[in-house]
Amino acid sequence: MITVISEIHPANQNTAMTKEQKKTKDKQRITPDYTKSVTGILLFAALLSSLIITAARVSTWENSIFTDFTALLAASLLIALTDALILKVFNPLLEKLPLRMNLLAAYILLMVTTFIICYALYSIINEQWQLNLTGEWTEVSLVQIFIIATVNYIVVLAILFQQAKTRGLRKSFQAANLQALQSRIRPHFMFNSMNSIAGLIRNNPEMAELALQDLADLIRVLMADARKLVPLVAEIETSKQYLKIEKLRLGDRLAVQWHSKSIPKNCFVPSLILQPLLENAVYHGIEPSFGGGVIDIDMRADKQSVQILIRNPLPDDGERSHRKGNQIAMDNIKQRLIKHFGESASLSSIRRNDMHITKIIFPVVTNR
Amino acid sequence: MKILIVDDESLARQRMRDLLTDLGETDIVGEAVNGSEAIEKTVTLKPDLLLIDIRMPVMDGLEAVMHMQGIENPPKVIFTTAYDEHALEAFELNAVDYLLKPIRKERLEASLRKARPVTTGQLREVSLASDSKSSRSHISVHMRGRITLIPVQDIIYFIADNKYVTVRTATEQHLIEESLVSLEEEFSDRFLRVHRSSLVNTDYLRGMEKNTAGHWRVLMKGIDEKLVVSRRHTPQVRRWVRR
Repeated sequence: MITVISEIHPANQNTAMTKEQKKTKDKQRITPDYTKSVTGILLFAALLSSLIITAARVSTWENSIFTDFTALLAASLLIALTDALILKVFNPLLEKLPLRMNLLAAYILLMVTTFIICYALYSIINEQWQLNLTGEWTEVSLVQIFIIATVNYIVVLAILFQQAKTRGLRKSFQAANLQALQSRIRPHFMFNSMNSIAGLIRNNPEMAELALQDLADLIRVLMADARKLVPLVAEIETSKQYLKIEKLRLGDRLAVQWHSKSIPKNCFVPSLILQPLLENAVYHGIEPSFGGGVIDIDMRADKQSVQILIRNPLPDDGERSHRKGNQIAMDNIKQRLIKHFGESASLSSIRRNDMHITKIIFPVVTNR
Repeated sequence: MKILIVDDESLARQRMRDLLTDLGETDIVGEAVNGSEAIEKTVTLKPDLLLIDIRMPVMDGLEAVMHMQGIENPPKVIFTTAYDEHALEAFELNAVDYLLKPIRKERLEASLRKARPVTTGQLREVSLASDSKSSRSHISVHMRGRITLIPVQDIIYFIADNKYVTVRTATEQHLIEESLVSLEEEFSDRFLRVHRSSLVNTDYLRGMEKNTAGHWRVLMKGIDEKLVVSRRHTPQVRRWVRR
């Protein structure tokens, strides 16, 4: 009787990932950081608000319009730089506020600053230098102040939020990568191996040295970019190193048989498509069983494709129950296979009697 | 102090031996490779202290120590583990000694000084939090200082009778002091209630038959005995038999 014990649902994992990412996003509060490159942004805002106000005055087109614009620009620049300074100074306070209060407070700050500067310009510079910077101190001036402050505010917020979002995304991307890395290394394996090596150092230093080298190589591969293509022979070497470390821990309980026929030397595969499957075989088939067993790896290839069969025994009924299936590794490999090779690659596993058989098929791709 | 080392990995046992020797603890009375061997050796060698790994084939360390609770003067226990995200907190909370692998000599030395026996309550808390399975792999029968272990997959039925529960395998029959309700709860994925006083292992269910008095009875693999099915449980049992 054949029972399919691990169907593959890449779609499920996608949903899970999205949910996870959403969670991280929700958790990360996006707060504008007013210390980040605000000056440059505000200089741009000054130009913008000057343009808007000048445009609003175009109805009263006069020769003085260029002077007006220049004067306005000068005033706006002053306002912008002061705004930047004020925001920088108040940032530690603003940061502590909830987002809505933060935004409101920043807006009020900008408004007050703009008002003070405009009033100062009007009362000092205007009168002394006879410049018509802010015109008459009327409602029109108040509208202008409002426009300058609002434009500054909107431009600053738009850009800062964009930055915060990018930062947040980068962070959650890094978190996802780290998670992927952790799911590739079973902590039990890692720490038990280190314990074994610690024990070997005193009784068999040479063997400890070899084991440490194998472990280092394995960690190097695990930490490398999993999207990279590697030669199939390199992946086989990694798998052999992994099994050597397991053999150290499990001793006679683990036996491995490799059969390979005409494996093309220049065939490339996504890295870590074989090692995690062997890790599953050890974890589910050998470790929980008192007597252990044999893992049989059968690799054969023709001109078009490579097929690898991994067979491992399943422990007795009584010993089986506590190891829950690790679908993550299977899903992950399946996804990467499909991404690289499309429909011509496949990964499946069946349970036949007391054996678990995993079959992986992919096309021979020689160039990167 | 008489010490028993329990770990399924020989290098881990060797390292523990080395560390203990360094610390002047030379009275290592034995080694065991899994939980059930640990119980056997604990009964015969009577160690004062158990250094026991949690994850092992056949029977894990937590379950083994749980079965030992019935013997007189159970040994002090220090658990060792490579990694168990969830159990560590439970260890701390319940003041159960544990060591993380790779094991540090200083940590081991400190643990040896303060090691103490554990209680069933502590074990239950830790077991609930740990990654290991929630139901036992064996049932233990305590008799005159000896512990007999019965693999759960060998048990055909449990029958409650007053204070005791009869455990029946193809070849043996034992009495244990546990409640049928808690057994049903623990092994609900494997055992089926057929009567107010009996639970049957579904792997051994062979069929049902009606006797002359019109009562249903279940037939089981490996034994000729037939158990009465109460009217209330008849539909469930019939569903199982049809499968």
